[in-house]
Amino acid sequence: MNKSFWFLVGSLVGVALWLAAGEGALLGFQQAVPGYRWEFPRDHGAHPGFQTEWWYYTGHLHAAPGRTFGYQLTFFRHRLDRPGLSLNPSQWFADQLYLAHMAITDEARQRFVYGEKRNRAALGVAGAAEGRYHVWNEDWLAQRLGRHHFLQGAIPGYELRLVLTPLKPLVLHGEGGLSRKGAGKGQASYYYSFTRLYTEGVLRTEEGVFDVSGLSWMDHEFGSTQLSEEQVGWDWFSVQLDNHHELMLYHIRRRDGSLDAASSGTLVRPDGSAVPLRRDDFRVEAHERWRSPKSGAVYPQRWTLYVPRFDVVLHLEPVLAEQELITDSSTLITYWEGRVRVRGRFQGQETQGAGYVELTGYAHPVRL
Amino acid sequence: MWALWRLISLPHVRQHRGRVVLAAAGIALGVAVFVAVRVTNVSTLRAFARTVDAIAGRASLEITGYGAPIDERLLTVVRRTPGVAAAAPLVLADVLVQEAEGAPLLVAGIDLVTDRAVRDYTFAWQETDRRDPLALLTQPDALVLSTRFARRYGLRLGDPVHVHTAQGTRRLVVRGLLRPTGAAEALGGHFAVMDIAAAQLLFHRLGRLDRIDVVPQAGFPLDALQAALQQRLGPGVQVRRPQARNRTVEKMLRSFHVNLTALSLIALIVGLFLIYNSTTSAVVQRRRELGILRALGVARRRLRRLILGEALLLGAVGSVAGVGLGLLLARLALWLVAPAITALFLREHLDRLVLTPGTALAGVALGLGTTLGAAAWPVREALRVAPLDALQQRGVYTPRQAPVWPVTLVGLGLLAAAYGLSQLPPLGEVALFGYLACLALVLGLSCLVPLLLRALGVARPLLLRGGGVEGLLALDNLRYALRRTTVATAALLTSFAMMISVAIMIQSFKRTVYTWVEQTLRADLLVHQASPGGERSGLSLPHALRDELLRLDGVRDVDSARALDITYRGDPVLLVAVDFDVYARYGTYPFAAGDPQAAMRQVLEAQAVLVSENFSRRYRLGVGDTLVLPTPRGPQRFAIAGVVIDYSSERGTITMNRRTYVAFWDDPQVDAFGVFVAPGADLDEVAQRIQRHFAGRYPLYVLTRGKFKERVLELVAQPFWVTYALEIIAIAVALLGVTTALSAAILERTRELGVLRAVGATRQRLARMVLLEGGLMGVVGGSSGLVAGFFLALILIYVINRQVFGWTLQLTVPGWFAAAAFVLLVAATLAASWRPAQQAARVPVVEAIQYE
Repeated sequence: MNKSFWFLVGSLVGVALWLAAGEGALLGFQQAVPGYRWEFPRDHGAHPGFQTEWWYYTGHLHAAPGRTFGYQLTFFRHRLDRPGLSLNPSQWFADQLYLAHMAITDEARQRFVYGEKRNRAALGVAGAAEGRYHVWNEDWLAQRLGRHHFLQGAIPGYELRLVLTPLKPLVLHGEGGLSRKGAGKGQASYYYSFTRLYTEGVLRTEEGVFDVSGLSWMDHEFGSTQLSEEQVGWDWFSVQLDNHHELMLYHIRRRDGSLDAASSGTLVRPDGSAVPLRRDDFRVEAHERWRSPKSGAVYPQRWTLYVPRFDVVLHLEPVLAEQELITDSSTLITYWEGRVRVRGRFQGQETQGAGYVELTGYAHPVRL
Repeated sequence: MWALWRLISLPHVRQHRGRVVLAAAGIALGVAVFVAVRVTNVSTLRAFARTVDAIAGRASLEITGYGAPIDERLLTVVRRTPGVAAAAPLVLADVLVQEAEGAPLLVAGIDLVTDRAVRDYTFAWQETDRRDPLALLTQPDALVLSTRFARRYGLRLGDPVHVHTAQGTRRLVVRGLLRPTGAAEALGGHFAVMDIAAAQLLFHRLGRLDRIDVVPQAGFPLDALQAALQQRLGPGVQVRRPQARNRTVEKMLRSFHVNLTALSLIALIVGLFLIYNSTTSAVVQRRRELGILRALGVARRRLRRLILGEALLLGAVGSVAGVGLGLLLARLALWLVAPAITALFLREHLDRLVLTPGTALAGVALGLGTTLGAAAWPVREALRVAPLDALQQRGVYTPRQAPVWPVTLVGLGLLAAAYGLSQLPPLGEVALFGYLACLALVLGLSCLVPLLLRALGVARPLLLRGGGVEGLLALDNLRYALRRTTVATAALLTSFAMMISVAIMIQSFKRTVYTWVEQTLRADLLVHQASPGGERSGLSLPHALRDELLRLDGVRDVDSARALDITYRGDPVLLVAVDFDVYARYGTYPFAAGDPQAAMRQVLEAQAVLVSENFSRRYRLGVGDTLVLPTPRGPQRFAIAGVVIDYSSERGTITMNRRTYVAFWDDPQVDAFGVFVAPGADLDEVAQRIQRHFAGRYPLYVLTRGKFKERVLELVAQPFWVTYALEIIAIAVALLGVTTALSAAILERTRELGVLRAVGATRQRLARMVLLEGGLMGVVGGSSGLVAGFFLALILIYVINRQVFGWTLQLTVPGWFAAAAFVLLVAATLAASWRPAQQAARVPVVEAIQYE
């Protein structure tokens, strides 16, 4: 499964709590249940009936003089309540919030910079189109033009404009795109990914403009659930190997330190076919800890991923320890999202590649 | 020195404790008024600046309309302007909270989602959990109060509150609390936020904003950004720095401040007289001791230092006490006057008084300087006396005929100067020369007092008949002891003149305003929004209510008035919109210039306005000239159709027809309705019917025309009550001066009185002589005070008021008041002479004449 679906839900706990306290609790939202009929390009667009939805890009960009950058650009949509209870003709009347995060890992300068946005749709400042893929937040933008995805975002010192072209078709995670997050009914989300997107574009920095190219990964996930009491956070791993395989692992951590049964993953073969992985199919070992001086959270670092079923052992090494986002101006969550270098053995063959790791719930449980 | 001090000073202080305390009190009074005025002024400005800063947050520029909300779509333009880091929309509304004793609250409708880019808020719950305040977005009744406000009025989370707004009474719920940091500190905590969507609906601002706050990108030149924004947004809005509003407020307060400071100086003159008298008697009473010391070889210089030191110590004690008293006075003034000024005038809640070191030092310096000036003369006089004379009780008081003409000439010169000064134009906006003219007038007349006293000679036959020999003696004592009697009489003159002039001014003011209200107020009933306490609230009402009013039984017609603070050439002025279509059927304005009929026609049919007399005078604009006013539709030209008498604002008033106003300002609100009652209908019944009809939606305050006029008179007189208190204190002080002067004179004349007793004068006759002396001082001081007061009033009305406010008041002399005050003054002087008279009667004959 994937990363941050829970993420937003959890991060906006206040809303959830309030909803839970009110009559009808979550009944106002559409639920992710088995049997969803996917239809593209419609499903690239927004699904405003669900509480939470995100479009999540991570990638690795290479520039001419041997420079490498990691990037993350994420657009969130969050619905506050059922509309119609008290209609207000004000432009500012909103039941949808739009949030976004962007981060750049500047490997050569060992620098990690991030920014965040939070807006309502008023005056067209932010939004997500339905039926087609067009999501924006102020001057940040993700849009599908033909086969290509166009991305745009800027944080202090870094301005990104990228064109992404899928090298493989999209992959539905879990059971036909239904990704379970827990044992409870409706504790699931709809989740698909583009696991290998060829990426080209420009990165404007204080040093000048870099022509960049590389690989990106895109997740699109929507649902209306939250972590259960026992679940404190998740670890998410995405790996793109030079042998044209991709791997996604999704760990839900329980309060007692164990791994939730709903943890899962997907292995994508060079031909684009996907193999769902169950909790028993993989194992993750962390070899180091890093204590964030800003948040005080202690994150695991340097992992080894084992997928014995496919004879895969991968070593993941962060290019920089400090890749933490404290998003007090948007999602109110503190998490680690960083570029990692990957090397290891894949069915007997040496292999290497790059990946992104997301760690949540280490500064505080992603929920109360 | 210490030995001298213990020998000479302490016993004297102990003996005359009362007088010493009084002298210090006199100085304290003057200093206190000065300090209080400065403290109030500085505190008001600081509090306002604090509020401006707290609400502005990180914003360095703000965009507002010219007295009207602006289109919310401008926000997009602002955000796309290069150099803008963040721009936050703001809807602002003043409300009164019923559950908080009707306390005023500024509600800011903010975009809870993005506002943190501009302002800091700490929601009170955030320390314990990470609940997101965005939950409030979907609760249209959610109000987030400052914890200070909530605590002050005992409100808790979840409590419903009823807020009175310009759009009626609404029920909201306290859904959150703000910690007292950042914006929540605005207005001393009388601040709340709600989501902008709910605020737009609640306060009728759909599609519009009251303000956009702009945070520029770091390092971007602010001037360039300001110019770029102004250029992109057009002339219908203003882009300025938040602090620019502080300057406007400073201008609004200036005239107020200058007048009060002038008053405090008058209070100091009173202190000056007091110190003069106290030092004089201190010297006279110890003349013998001083003479002995001189004879023993103590240097004159040391004695001077001793006595000046005494006075300075007195002055210092008085000054320091005055600073403390000033703070108290400011607190009192705040408590009494502030609700009116701060809530309505500045929308400011003052809760912190600021005493700057500068104010304290200036107060003490003023007090000490006055003391030194007042004490210098008597000290010099005392030390000039030869030691032998002093020992023999001879000297200062020698009945010789001193020439009065030099001082008379000085007096005439001062009077001429007073006239000249009164003809000079104001210095900037301060009627400095007017105040100097007042001073010259009072001093000039004081200089004529010796002449007047000397001229009492013509009254000899009268006094001989009425008072016998002691009458003549009293007269001659006065006439030939000018040095002493002049000061006491001049003090009476000054204080009485102050009282008379202010009385004349108040009377003229009241009469003028009353006449004006009578002429212009045509409606039978005035309808305002009521506060939860049942008073006039200052909140506006929608003009749309007019139709409902018209449908009520007994209502014949309804007009309305709307007042708006606008800026003309950078100065705050008042814009008034009146339903002239209705009003013109019932009356007209008192015109100072222009043909009334033609002017009214022009105002009704064209883009024309009436300006007040003070506006016309200040900007030198008259009938036929054109005004350019900044409006929400850009600068517009308005023809001046007439100049009218109007006392609505001391800063100048522009009046236009409501239709013209709405065309440019698009403002649906009014401040008051005027209801014309059908013939035969009962006023009170109609008033009650109106209140009943709007009950639950709009609490209304309905006044009949008669009651309204009474309220206006109260309002006019209100600011002056402080001055009356001061004047009465000044007169009391002057009377004490009379007592001191007479008893000092008796001390000096012990020998003479002894001789009188020896040649057969009875105790009663001596006492009567002294009483007559006092009475004559009262008559001279009072009658010259009347004259001085009249001329002072002329300067106040025709020079100062005209220069500061641009108003012409009709001179009205409160004859009965003046007569009664005069009689009271003379009676009071007689009372003040009572103790000296007893003192004279008790002079022991033998000891008094044994020097001979």
